[in-house]
Amino acid sequence: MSILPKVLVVDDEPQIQRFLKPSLTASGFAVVSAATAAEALRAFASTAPDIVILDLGLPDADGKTVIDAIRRGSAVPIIVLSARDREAEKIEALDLGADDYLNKPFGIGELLARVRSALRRSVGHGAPEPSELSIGGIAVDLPRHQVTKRGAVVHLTPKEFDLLSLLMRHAGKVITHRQLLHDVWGPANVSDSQYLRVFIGQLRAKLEDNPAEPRLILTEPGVGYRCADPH
Amino acid sequence: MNVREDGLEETTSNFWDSLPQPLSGFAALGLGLLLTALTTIACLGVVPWLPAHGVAMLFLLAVVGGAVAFGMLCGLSAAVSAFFAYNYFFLQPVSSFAISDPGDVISLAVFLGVAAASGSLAGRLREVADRARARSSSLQRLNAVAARLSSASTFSDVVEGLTQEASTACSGSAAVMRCAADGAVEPQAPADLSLSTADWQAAQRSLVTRQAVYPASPGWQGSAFAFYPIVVREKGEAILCIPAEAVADNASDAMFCAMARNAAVALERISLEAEKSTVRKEAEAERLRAALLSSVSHDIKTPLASIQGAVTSLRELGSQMPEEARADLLIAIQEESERLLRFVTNLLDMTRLQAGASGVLEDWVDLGDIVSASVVRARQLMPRARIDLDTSSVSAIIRGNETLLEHVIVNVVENSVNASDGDAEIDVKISENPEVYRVTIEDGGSGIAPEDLPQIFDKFFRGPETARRGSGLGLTIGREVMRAMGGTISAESPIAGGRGTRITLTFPKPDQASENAGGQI
Repeated sequence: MSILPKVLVVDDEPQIQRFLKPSLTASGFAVVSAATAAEALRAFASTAPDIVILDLGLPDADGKTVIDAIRRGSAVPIIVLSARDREAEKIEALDLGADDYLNKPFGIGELLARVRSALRRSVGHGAPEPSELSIGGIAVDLPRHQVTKRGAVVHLTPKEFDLLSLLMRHAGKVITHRQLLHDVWGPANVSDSQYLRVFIGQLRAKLEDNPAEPRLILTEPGVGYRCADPH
Repeated sequence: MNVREDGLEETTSNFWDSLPQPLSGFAALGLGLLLTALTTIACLGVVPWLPAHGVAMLFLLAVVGGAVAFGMLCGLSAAVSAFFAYNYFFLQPVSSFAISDPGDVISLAVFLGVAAASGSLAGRLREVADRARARSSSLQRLNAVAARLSSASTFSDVVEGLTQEASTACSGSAAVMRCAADGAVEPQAPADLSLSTADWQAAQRSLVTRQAVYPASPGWQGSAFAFYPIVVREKGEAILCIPAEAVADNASDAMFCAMARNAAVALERISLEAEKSTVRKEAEAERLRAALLSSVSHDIKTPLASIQGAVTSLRELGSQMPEEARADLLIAIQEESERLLRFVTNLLDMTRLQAGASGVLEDWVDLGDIVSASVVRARQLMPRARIDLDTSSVSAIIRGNETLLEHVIVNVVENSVNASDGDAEIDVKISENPEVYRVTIEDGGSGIAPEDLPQIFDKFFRGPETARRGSGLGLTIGREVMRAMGGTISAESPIAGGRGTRITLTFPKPDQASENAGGQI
């Protein structure tokens, strides 16, 4: 019998804990609950969870301090819960190292999908980098810098290639505008989001079947972009 | 300045005020002749006992006296007539204008010169003194106007003050006409002012030119009044009307001009104050709106998130859950629906609040009445809590908004009940001191930790006791409402035996409130 994956749920709302716990248990997770930042860090140290679900509005401290503290010593996936209208908070959390976010209110199915996706990425973490990435008919050959769509070669500029491979390497994960700009264009260009809009548009035009309804490169409004999870 | 003018008035008034008005024209000439005649008769009576030049001295006395008392013209008239009378009645040969002694010709010429000079000098002195007196009194009037207008707080105060002061100054009936919004003169002038067509035109012209229009301007057949426009920020607001006879000289014209300018300054100050107060009210309303919006969004989203989470869990994973977990999720859905319903009810109350938010200070309300109504509502909401009310016999009428206040007090009482363990006992009291009315709400719960005390009014802060029940916004809204009303809200804990919390609301008494608000009501 395999050991159940452990989820640390940090939320001060008892009503949220009340449905998360039975649902996660029923889905095959062991659940550890915490209501404050201090409790969360204690529980993290003592139980070593496989994934953390973290509400950013905690009574004793800003939820972002929890991310910061965890990230100092661990790469465990962190999914943050936040209100839809708090983009700045979500972006900060992602830039601090959170893996994903979910707007409240949310359905349990959506949360479970995010949890599984994050766990998959985390299991693959540390494995040797694959030389080819492939999602939905789009294949990226990293050593040869070549992209094919259903076998046909698609010509990309070097920046388009970098952007695409960055998104595909983290398929399923939200990457903020800032992170994309930093990694592709360099630290001096982190606020030039117009570059990003233009290049995303070009990538979609070359790769998507219908660029107006993208299925590969998805927009997370106000936060960043996400490459569709192959699963 | 005031003091100096008063001083001048004191030193000059006693003597000069007792004098009659200076005379002009025939009256002055006639009086001069009369003085000479009386002096002549007196001299004729006493001449046997007088030395030779005594008569001339008596005539000089009459000339100087006449000039001082009745003005220069009277003095000069007396001097010339005295010259003839002295020659005719007292120089040899008597009863003839001929002069026998050549020495007397010189004496007479010197007499005429001295009489004319002293008469005119004395008259000039009189005029100077009169002018100084007039200037001093016009300055005093201007001072009075300035003092009065600077304390005026409405347009009507200014109009009334200016009308009275100007009427006193012109010892007649001055009037102030208001101007309509389009800059025309309002057709209804004060009732006691009857204006001819020419007067109306003159008034209109003063508004258009932004300059005083005088009764006899060149090219103007004249009206019965002088009109001084009162212009505030390029817009004619009112006109000061002074009867023609009161603006005969430059000094009084300058005085009325200055009065009109004073009034303009006062009106400008009032309009700026009104603007400031509008801006302040808008800021208050905005702050309240922001607090209410956060409250609404949080209070509604939390139960919705719980309901949605529980429902999706049941639908998607219900078959894999134990029976009691399913039952608990159903109970959670019911509880959260009830909580949501309460918030929505609250929200509807709040919407009403919000509608009145810009007029937080518009009403006079009875604090005792609201507190007791709030306690009644709190008892209905929380039937298990024991809530004691002591309003003593404080009669507290304050400016505020009943609905907002009730909301704040019920919220605080609710917090106190939630903070108490088991059966809550809450004491609500009203008291007063010379500056403020005070409402205190005390509970016997475990109190607030010292490190939490400064944060309890912060948005979304929830103490460990209330964390599971409150929205974390009650006290924040309370603080916003109290701020908007010029009051305060504060917390003390522990209050007795290491336990309990006291929340104190203070309301400035109305006179303090208006002082704090910079005199704006």
